[in-house]
Amino acid sequence: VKPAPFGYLAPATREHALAALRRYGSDAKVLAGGQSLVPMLAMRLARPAVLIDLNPIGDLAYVKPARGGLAIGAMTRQASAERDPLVAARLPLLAEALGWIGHPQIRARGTVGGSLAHGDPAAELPAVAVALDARLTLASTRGERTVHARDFYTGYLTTALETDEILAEVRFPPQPPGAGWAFAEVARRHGDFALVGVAVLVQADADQQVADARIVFTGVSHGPLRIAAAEQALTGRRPIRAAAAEIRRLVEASVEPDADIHASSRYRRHVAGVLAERAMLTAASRMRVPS
Amino acid sequence: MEIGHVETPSPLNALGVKGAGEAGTIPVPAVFASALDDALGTRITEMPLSHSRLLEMILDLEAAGRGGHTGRAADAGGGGA
Repeated sequence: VKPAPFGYLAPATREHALAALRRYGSDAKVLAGGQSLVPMLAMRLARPAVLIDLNPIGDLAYVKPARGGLAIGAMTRQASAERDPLVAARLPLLAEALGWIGHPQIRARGTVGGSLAHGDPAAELPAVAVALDARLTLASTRGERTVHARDFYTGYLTTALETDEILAEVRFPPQPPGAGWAFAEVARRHGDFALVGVAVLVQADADQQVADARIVFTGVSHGPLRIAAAEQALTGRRPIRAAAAEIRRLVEASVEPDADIHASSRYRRHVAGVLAERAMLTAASRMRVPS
Repeated sequence: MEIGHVETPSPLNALGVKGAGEAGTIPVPAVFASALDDALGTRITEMPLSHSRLLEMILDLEAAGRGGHTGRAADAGGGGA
């Protein structure tokens, strides 16, 4: 299958890209790593009049320290972020989740910003961005604005991006000191889209109780799904293991996944409960009491 | 899995040969289904047996209190590939 004809622009600078997007608006699609967009073009699920290719713009790819956390340029390849020592040191949850994206070949081309902006309902990075309270920098010729990851995903493959905006950068606050983390996923084959995935973050207080928890799913809703009831049930618990069955039950009661050709709704709900329990126990084992 | 052989040479040609490939594949789903029936107490009568269908059969058995000898067999549902 071949794409419908399209125009192709390869602006050399961010300013040129934004000007082109301003001009073509919803007639244009922005090309990052192309790991979702190119297959969609080939299957003619997307038929933009113009592609605006961000790949020539080298200064959109970087990982740099920012206020104890990290600022990651949208065009940073997933493989680069996965191997970046700063990511490993400051955002181990992100580092762990990156390894679940597709295969090494996909991560070599796929970008952090591309995955976040595409917003596939089974993608790993949107759930991680919500769990870590990331802020997304959206740029247009009108200027920049910042949107919390939790406010960015508005519906199925739909985000807060306006037609003249690109996702330029994602800023992660540092993981809370001593917080335990885990990303867990079930797919039919490793590298397939997640049937269900979950990002968990648990933070202890000095008494080894859970002071704060984040449980964010992918694959069970139109976008990343935080399970506040399970987070609250975990808060104040010690030892965490004692909460496992309750967390599993709360998660199963909170998700209403769609069925598709890959798995039934009931299967996804059951796996969500099992994964929440597993990820929570892994995160707890990595938790350190603040000194 | 153990594989046994039963030889029934064809009377229709000098070598006694038959078509291979397809004949060997036909009983395989039934063999798997029988093994699962034996292990879980299910009664599988339909293919394909997707991971979703198998898990739901196990959950239904557990809900009906008939899956006792499987323990928490449904926990294996997260095994993926």
